[in-house]
Amino acid sequence: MAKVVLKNLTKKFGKVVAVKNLSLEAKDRSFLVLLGPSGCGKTTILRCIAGLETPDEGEIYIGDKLVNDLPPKERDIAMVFQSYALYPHMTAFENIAFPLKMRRVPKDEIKRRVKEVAELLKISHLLDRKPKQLSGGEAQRVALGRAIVREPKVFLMDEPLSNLDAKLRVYMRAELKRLQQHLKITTIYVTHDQIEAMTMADEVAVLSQGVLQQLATPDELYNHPKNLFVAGFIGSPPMNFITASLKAKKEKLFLVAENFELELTEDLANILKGKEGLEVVIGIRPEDLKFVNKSEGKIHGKVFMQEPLGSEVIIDIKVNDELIKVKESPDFRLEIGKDVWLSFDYNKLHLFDKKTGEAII
Amino acid sequence: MKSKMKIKVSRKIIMAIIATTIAAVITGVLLFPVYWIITSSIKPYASLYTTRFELIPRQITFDAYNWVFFKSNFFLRLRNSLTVSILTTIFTLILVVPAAYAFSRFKFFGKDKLLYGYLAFTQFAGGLGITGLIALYAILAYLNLLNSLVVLAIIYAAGGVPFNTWLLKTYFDTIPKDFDEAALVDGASYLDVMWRILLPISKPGIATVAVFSFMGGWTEFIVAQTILNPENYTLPVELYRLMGQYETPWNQFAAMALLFAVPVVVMYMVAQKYLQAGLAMGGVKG
Repeated sequence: MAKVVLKNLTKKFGKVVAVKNLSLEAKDRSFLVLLGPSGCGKTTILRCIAGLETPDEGEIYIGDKLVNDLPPKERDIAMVFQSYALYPHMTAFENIAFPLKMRRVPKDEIKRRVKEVAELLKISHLLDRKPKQLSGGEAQRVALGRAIVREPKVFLMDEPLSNLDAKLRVYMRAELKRLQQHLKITTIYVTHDQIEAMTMADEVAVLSQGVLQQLATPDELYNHPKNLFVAGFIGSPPMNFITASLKAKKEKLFLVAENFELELTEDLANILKGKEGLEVVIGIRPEDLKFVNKSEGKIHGKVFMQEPLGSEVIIDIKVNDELIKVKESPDFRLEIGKDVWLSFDYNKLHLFDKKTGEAII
Repeated sequence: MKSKMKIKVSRKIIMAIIATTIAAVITGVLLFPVYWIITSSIKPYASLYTTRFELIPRQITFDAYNWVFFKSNFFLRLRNSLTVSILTTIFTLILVVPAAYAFSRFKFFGKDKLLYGYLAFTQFAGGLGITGLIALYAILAYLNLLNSLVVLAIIYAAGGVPFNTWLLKTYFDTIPKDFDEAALVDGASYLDVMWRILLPISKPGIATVAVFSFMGGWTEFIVAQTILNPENYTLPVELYRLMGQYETPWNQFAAMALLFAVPVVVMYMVAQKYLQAGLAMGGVKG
């Protein structure tokens, strides 16, 4: 078992910079998720760690060993591909046994270890089948088995759940996490699905256009996003954003948006002292907004749409030209077009510098 | 409404009949020479020189086949042809498989130029014609390599390398690189990847290259006739020798020609399912 450390990693494909000066660490035995939209560089990072791509700059350490010049087979890593990459001409048994065969492990030992892994993953009854005879979930387990049987220092997983249906994905998320905790192997997991990241990760590295945005626990990312990108990417439905500016009036600080003003509390005003005139973006999560009376309301709008989801309902409120989403209990209903007023707890308020995108509070 | 539908159905049937008739006529025209050779091989020698047209033979005899099997050099020539064709196939595969793998999977200096150079080479042989043949003869004579079945196989293999490399490289391109990468991570070397992963998956592509190279060695005549001496003649050259200056025993010629075609037909029938997949080179989904 080992930690994985990346120092100033850069990878270019022609003129395109896929990964830019990235430094991060996956702690020993931890589950690190690389999260971001398509094209953000997360798979490239994984492939650099695996040795399938050569970085243009930077260093990769597995344990204390610098592995930049080592081929994949000498890095003691195992990888699960998005397509599973099960060898179609081999049975499930032969697929799982392949890494051991390449390492000249004796036949009896191969048999014992494959059976052990098959029992752990509950695929013993599938060992004689070929990949085309397996369902998606079964194929994924065989691919996992091929990775586990090696007992590597690090697991690398490239969106292994993306080919599964929604129900199976939910089940496998928990299974994968349970497995990783049982095996205690450092795991680096790539996904664009923030629910996977939030439910499985010990730490999440959020990436955008090859640049690390924030490395933190899921809770930290959710409650204290470092910038607009992270705030908007994490959370479903995403955080509401309203543009405003900081203005001082009669020794008090206000957030002035297009059709409302918010007087800041003393604590917040102290934090924001000296920033009068700054263009900001107010961030507030849908579950932190409440419908209130006109007298208590801070933000006024009209009901635009309602999306009942079974366990909750998402209500879209039109505030000038912007749509704000509010999360409510499943039986809460409002008339479309009705005038409403919203309030929130200032402790749940996020403020971002409009120019830089960085969090102010 | 009903009458309109009736007219439509009748029109469909009429069109189907016309199309089938035309197809049958064309097929008949194309297959007629094969039929004529079959019937020629079982007719008496004299009946081939009459002016009377016999679509269905009046007399059937197997004298021609008797001559081919027991009096001619057929089996000796068959042995020579099989030797050359099998060696051609082996040499071709030895040269083409690693080349196709490299072109498909690796980036290296000059790769694109070399690949398109291969395409250009496929046009050279036909274009050079006699000149190339004379040069080839001169080189082999100088090196004392004339009259060798192994050398002939090497020449055929070399001639087939450009086209077959392209063919197999294109087939390898349809196989997802995920398999290679998974194998490399699992501990395989590049040679292991080629031998244990790519080749077993590539049976249709390999079969196609094997059949094309076998057929190349089996049917080639000009180079074989130029560089081989009589004791090493292959079947195409032996067939040509049957054509005399004043007359040709067409029944014996037909019998030997049919027997010459049999191995290729058998090979195609055995490899048919692989050939269809190999030539179609359909996409492989991971």
